[in-house]
Amino acid sequence: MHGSGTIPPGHGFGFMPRYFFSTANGHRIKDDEGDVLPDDAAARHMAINILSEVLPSQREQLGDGGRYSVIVADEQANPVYEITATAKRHAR
Amino acid sequence: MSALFQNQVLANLGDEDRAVLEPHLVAVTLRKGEVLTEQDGPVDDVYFPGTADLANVMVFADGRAVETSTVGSEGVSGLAAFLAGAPCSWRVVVQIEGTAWRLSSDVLRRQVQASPALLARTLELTHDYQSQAAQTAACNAIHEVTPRLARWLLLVQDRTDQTDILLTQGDIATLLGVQRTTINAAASELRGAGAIEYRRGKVYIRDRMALKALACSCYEAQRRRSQALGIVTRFQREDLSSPPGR
Repeated sequence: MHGSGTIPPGHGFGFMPRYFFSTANGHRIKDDEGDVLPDDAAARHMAINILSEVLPSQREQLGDGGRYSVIVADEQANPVYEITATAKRHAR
Repeated sequence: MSALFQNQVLANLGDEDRAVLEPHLVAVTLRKGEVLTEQDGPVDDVYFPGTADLANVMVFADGRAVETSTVGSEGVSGLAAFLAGAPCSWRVVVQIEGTAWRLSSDVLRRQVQASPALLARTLELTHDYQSQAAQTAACNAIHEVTPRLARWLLLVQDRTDQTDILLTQGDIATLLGVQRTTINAAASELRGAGAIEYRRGKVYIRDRMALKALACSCYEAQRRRSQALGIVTRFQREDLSSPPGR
């Protein structure tokens, strides 16, 4: 699991697909660069890491409810995986 | 000659130290990604960066390499391993290409032993890098990514003297030990606050004061310690002379 997107396409033996990771908390931050990873499982793993790293900085937005998502797409822009943190503040 | 040295250690050498060291200094241009000293390898040469910036990184078996401290125009690589005659505990890699001066460790070690002033300076720098690494270790454990990124960008700007930082978000993510997309999200916050701008492979610092306001307390804590040791960079001098509350 490498943090860098600098591995060139087709690096190593065989084909390694590129995955794109966008994030959304109301407005979406698109990923134009992508990461070359061995397979979908590695992409899911990375998405979970991203969510855990970004969530603490979403304290204000999520404190009153709302959601934060990491969306993984393949090279054809088809969605592969999505993980979302949802907050709900209960009336009391 | 001293005016030619963009490196502060070289520019501030005493006459005698300069006379001894200068004939051995080799001006080099360092390329991004070049490994100058391998982790657990010997420190044959040390490097005094001019416009280049070096990262001291800890390398893991899976290929990840996280930055522990950075060396720029304020100092010299290889401390304190070369003083101890011990292997370097981290890899020294060029993170931003630029100029530097290379010097044989043996030459510098001999002169350090002969010159109390040079010994004092190398010990002060060693101390500064040690406290930078300690601050970074604590910062990585406690602080969120956005303030860490702001702190790190300031640190690199201080040590390279540049407004443009020639690093991709992927490079920065690797050095900070987080995912590229996490840096993308954090950089987007800093951009939203007007502190930085970025295009592929380049971060521009637009508003240093805004960036300082977003950085964690580690930046200021470390800057004060460095200042006490006489390590003050051009941008830091400008900060001190700019009116407060800007």
